[in-house]
Amino acid sequence: MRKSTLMVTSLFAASALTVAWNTGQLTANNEILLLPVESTSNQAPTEVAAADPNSTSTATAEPTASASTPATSGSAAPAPTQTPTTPASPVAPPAPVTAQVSSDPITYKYGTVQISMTTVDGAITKIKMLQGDATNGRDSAYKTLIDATIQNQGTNYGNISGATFTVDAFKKAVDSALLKF
Amino acid sequence: MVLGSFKLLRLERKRDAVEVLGILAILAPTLAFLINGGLAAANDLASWFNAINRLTALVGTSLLLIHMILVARIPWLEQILGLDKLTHAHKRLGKPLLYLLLVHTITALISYSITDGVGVFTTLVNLIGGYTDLLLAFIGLVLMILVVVSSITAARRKLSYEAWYLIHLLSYISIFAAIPHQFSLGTEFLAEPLLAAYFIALYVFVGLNIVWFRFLYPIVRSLAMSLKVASVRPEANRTTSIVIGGRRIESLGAEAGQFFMLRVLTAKQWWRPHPFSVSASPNNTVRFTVGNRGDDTSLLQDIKAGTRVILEGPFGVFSESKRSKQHVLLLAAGIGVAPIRALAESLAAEPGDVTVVYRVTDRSNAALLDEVERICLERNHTLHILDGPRPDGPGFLPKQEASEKPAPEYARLIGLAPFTAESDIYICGPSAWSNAAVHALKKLNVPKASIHVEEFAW
Repeated sequence: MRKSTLMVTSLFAASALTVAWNTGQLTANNEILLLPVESTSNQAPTEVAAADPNSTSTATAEPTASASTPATSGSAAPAPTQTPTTPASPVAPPAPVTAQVSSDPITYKYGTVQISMTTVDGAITKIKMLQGDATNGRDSAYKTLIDATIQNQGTNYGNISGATFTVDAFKKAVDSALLKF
Repeated sequence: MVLGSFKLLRLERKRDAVEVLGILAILAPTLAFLINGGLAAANDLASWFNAINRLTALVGTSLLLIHMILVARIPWLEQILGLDKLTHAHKRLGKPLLYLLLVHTITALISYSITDGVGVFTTLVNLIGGYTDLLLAFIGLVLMILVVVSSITAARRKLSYEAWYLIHLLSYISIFAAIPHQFSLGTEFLAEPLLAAYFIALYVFVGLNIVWFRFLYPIVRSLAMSLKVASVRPEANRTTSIVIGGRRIESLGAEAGQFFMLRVLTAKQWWRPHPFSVSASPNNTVRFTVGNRGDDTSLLQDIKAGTRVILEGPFGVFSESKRSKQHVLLLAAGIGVAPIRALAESLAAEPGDVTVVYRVTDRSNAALLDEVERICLERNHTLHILDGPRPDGPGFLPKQEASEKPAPEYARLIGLAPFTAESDIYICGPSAWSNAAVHALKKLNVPKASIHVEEFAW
């Protein structure tokens, strides 16, 4: 290769790599793992209010999944719009109502996940693993996932690197449980 | 015949374009990886290992595809770089490719074993036990290690060509075995359908090119032309001229200095093609001059007229297509004379433009010597036939007589061919000899683009 071509190519490659790296940093900052997506980023917050005009508790409890959901780190488990399903449960407002359901067993590559979910007034308060016999310690992710689900009142959080499939299966179990209320 | 510095520039541009294409093929998936935050997501040990695992997987896959395209024998690529350079690049890429894939495997295992809190070996067992795709990929990796190890120089010396060839065929299985896990488990591919589509397109492109240009096209064409050995004639110094004839054989379009892969369809030899330079193409035939140098070339010495053959090619850029200067110096040693003879016969030249230097051990027994002498006489080329013993050290000229004043080889070359520095130089002979000649030319500041070497042993 001629020197001039080599120089132009290396310059191009270097600048492209820098730009790509910066872009990666930006997307990653918008998506800190297992933290709720900040509504300040770029989605319309109006969606939340418009969704359920009568039930304030559900509205605040369940941050609406929006277009800027994680998945940007190249995670295999994009957790986009669970919006319509989760808040659709028209729980009766009077007196604290405690409910408990079990999710469908979700079978995936590493095993089976089944949870039992307890809600008080439609807010998720407790999750127990009914089945979580995933192979070799992959179940260590469950505690983190349970905390994240309760904190976010849904599955609107990112991925655990290295446990992508388990996270995905767990989210499916949560969604399945929410549908049963 | 087009010559001149503009042609040289055009040739260099083409070569650069192809090389830049190769670099871009590596760069593109790396950019996709970075844009997706592949590196930014790395924040602890496990995720760092995971990031390395994913990046090496992407770069390794790209490199593998380049590695394959280099030996797909695609005509347009071959006409730019030459089959010998392509094969050489393929050889050099083998080990780095394996290292990348090993790093990919090991970092993946470490990353998962940290996340799961179990040992690396347990992780390996769990993964290949739990996923058929990973089991396949692991088998693919083992096969690839076998292929690379069998190809390193030390092993090549011990292994017979046949054994090496059979082991090398395993690489196809190895590649196919590794494909499923890339698409069923590859985080990058699952998350980025565009990236997955890009790689699928590349796989299909490379695969089709290999199947067509390496296998189907030569067979279909040779059968359609019904290529057969027309005649066989023994030449001096244990060499034989084999003439191939067939319907419309001239449409193969071989230029002087190019070569074919010759596959003789006999029970013993059909599965192994050999490269031979076209030594002449008179009367719509293709003639090879084959030296008796070992197992298969000795079998070729008593090939029967009428035997069916398959020709793959023509290959090589050791031809006038790369010439940019008026003066030409042709350097031949031993059986390397075959393409040199063809060039001497057909190069566009005025009397005095072409100088032929033919290095032989024994003048009375040199292949094609009478033909070379006749051509040079008819076309007024300057011919130097150099016989005599080899020099003590490395060198391409005969050992100097004790009576001669000792002179470096480049100085002696200038004495033989005064226009060397302003010539296109074509060199064909054993590789040690060629290297010595190139070394002397570098001393004379001959630009690299003007030196054309046909790698003789590869």
